[in-house]
Amino acid sequence: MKRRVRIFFLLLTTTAFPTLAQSPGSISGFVRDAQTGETLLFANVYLSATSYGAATNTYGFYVIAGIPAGEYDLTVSYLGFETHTQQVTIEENRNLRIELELTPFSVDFGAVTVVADRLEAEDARQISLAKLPAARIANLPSILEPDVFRSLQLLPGIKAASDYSSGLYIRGGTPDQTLILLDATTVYNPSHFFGFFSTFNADALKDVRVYKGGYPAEYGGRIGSVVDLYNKDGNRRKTSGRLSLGILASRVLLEGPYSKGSWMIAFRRTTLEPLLSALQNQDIQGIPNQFYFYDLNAKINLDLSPDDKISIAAYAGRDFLDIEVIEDTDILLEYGNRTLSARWTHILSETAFSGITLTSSRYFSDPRFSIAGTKVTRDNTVDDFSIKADLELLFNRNHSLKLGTWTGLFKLRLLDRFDNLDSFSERINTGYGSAYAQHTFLAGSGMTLTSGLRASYFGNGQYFRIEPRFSADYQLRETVRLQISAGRYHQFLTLISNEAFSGFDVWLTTADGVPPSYGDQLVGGVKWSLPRGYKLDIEGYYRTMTALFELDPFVGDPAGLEYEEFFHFGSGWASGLEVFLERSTGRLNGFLGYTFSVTRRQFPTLNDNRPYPPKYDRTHDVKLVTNFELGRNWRTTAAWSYATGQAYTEPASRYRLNDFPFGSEPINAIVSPFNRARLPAYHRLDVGFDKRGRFFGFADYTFRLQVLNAYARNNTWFYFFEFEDDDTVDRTTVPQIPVPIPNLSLTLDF
Amino acid sequence: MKYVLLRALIAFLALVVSACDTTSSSIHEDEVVVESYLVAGEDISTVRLTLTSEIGSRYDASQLGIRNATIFVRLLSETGDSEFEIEYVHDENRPGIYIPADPHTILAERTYALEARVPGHGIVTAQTIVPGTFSVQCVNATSVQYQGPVQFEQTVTVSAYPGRQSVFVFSLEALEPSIATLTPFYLDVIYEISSGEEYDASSLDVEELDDFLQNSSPPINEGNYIVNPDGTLTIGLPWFAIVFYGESRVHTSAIDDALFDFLRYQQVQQGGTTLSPGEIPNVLDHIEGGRGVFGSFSRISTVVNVLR
Repeated sequence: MKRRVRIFFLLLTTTAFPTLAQSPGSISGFVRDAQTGETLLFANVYLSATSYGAATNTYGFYVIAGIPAGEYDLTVSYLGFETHTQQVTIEENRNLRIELELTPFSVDFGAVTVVADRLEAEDARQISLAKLPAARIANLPSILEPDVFRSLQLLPGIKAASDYSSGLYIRGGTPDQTLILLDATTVYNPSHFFGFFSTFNADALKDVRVYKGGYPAEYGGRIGSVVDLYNKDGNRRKTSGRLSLGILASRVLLEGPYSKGSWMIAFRRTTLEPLLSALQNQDIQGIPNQFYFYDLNAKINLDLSPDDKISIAAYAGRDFLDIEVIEDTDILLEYGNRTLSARWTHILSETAFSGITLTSSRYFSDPRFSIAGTKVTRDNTVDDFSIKADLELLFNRNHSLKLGTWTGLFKLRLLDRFDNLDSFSERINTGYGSAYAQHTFLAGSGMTLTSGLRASYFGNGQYFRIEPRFSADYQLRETVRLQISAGRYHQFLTLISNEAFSGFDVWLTTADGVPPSYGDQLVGGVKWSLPRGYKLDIEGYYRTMTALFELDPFVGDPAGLEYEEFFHFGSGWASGLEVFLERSTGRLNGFLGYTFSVTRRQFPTLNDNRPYPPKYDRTHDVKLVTNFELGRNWRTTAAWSYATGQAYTEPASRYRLNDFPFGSEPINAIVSPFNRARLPAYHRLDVGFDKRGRFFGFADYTFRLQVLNAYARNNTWFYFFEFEDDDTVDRTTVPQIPVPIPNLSLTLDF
Repeated sequence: MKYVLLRALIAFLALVVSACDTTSSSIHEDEVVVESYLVAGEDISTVRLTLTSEIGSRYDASQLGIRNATIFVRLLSETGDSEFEIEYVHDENRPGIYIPADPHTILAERTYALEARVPGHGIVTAQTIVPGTFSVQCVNATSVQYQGPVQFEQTVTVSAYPGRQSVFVFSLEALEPSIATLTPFYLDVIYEISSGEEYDASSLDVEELDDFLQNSSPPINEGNYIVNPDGTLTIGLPWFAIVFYGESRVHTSAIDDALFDFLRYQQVQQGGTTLSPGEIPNVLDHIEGGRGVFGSFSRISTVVNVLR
């Protein structure tokens, strides 16, 4: 480890001492959508016929520095928008503030021509970074509701555990190894319907970025990946709205300007009550007395001055189920999330940008069971209050520096009660903090070096950890980039969850005797911009997962145990190769992704302490997504997935304890090599058709018909083995979604 | 580039088809299964030896019983030496069951070792530490009304076990089982009959009740209960454990590590934990050279009458 740190500092010292000469001249400003005034994140801004350029940051702000005096063509491009070029005159030692606006392409895709290879911001093609525009999420075929995470699961390297789970298994990591941020605020249980849907309303989102691995020093806290979501700021030009009526839920979005900025509010709620009522009237068993989920996203932006902006964003989501499955039972399940963030961004100078964010996040889960008069309850909350400060400095054309801190208070309360007695109680109140420095050096000849260092502290257990990060980007040719990144990552939290049900999720932390898990990642890739708007990304990765601490599945009853006895400690590794071919423009667009991956985990309590593939391990994975504009008002979408089988345990033998003293009957046990067999291959086709037009002259409408699992593939979720009365063992196939699922929706934009 | 997507798709499909995962079928091996339970203060019990069975075949205990083994159970001293040993003899009327040749009362908080020499399968050994005995100090009632204001509670002394808290299994043995005495919850669980729904008991299969004649809890830690000032524990009987109205015998058993580990691992095999569905771990056996349970426990029993 010491040697690695020395290497890191060597890299830092060779790249982190910029020449602090005055910039000859610079340009800076925001890039916005001309129709709505929304800032555009990671738009590409450059001076044509030069190598001067930059991408907008997460606030939509760009800076190009070190420009020699003279006349230039300033060009800005962004996917889905018409490229804009204007002449600028750069004077020595002066900054030119230019606010740029881009006009979205019209829906007449026939008129769209494939534009320059630099269409997409180079920043958006960072190594291991996947960016999914909200519009694409809305268009993809979905199970009843547009779903951000299910859309992400179509990207190479990101897998789903099953059709029933929106959890993200990224590059061999479990869902808790991915940091989920909504407007810079951690979201602890990003699910609805107990894991079936992700919690984010696609209408309310502006941008979704996924760092699948090797992520930079500005992020931390998870050993795997980062999903960074941004809510819309709201339309700054006019008041507008969107109303969507669907089978499961309906959504409404309103946004508009006011004297000092913009606002946005989006609400979604299930509308199943009439259906549930009808089913109850027919006396069908197992129908919930009540079931709903809702979520609310709101954001308001206040422009204090051209250089000072404040935004306040809030999210509230809740799932509720009341069901009586069997006589004399009552099950009440309730969980949800609340987030609140306030962000102040300040432009210190033409080359310095700062942001301060206050965040608050609450996750709660309060299941209540009453079974034959016995009450079982859980009160589980996570509260996370934090403050973040970030500073971006551009020293000159070649050197930029990002600095930041993130400090907070993490509070966990978990109280289980059984039969009116406390059966388990855990309270954790701990502070945490981190700081990072990230230096980017344009070394010339197309080489960009980014080195960073992150230091993290977690109060529970008093762990202090250093995380070096490094990446290099080399422009081999105008259309080919070679990239590499490496880093160490630490994680102080672990999630107790189940692939099939996320409603009882519990987060636990490090403590004395429970050290943080950590992992090293090495990623290498090539990005190739092909003619006619095609892009090809190939990435290989290897990552380790060390000191994993997860709830020991064999603990059973935790009452009276020491905290460290809840866990089993293990390790793992994952490697893979991802190929991503994308065409973002033209009448026929979409992408083809392929992943080859191997994941192994090792825990003393499983598989005789030998490495094993977890269930979510799939060796080969192919995804094909296409959009085709049939005409001005018609569009088809298709998504086809193929994956080789997941690992599972095929029993070899059984034995029986015939005289077992507890229970009326003998008790059986299975003997089997753990997860050594593979389920049949998985494949599924989802298709969708959109019809667009005007709705009685006052709104644009989109009528959407989608069919999931169009050819009714009966994929296997898992096998269930049951001991039968005739002394045989019966294997039952539990299917994934086995039948075509239609989905109808009508969306009005006004 | 016109057909880039199509060509790439074909290439990938070819790769996938040619490089699919191989699915290895599981291979069964005959292993010796030990089954014996020592109860503190009670006569030493029998030992049953069987073989594991291939998963696809029908289980037949008599066919799988091992007849020609040599078995000894030894009481060990603190230093691990044998204080005395009991030889077992095979019961020819019950294949696989071995009977102790000499009588012996199991001693609490002592270690017993089993050794079985099985021709063709080597030596199988196991040890158990017998949990300390404990007793019922008092009960709050001998008769309670189902889901009434008073729950049945017993106050018990603590059972000792080296290195950990006591772990209990509660079993409710029905003394008056019948379809007519089923509580509403279990009437629905077993026969899918809701309360108020009329039914003809004579048309229902009474054998369905067999699984519920003795209803047992999973292992429950001593830490669940409040320790009284005098060091005793007050343990309530949850309503949902009651399957039948009428008299039931409540057995409270403090179990050893072999039983504890078997139960908690076997429970995970049934699913519902943090493991993904389809992931089935093996049970943690305390048997060298075989599988099964050579376990022990201490137990107390009381009777409660549950009124409608």
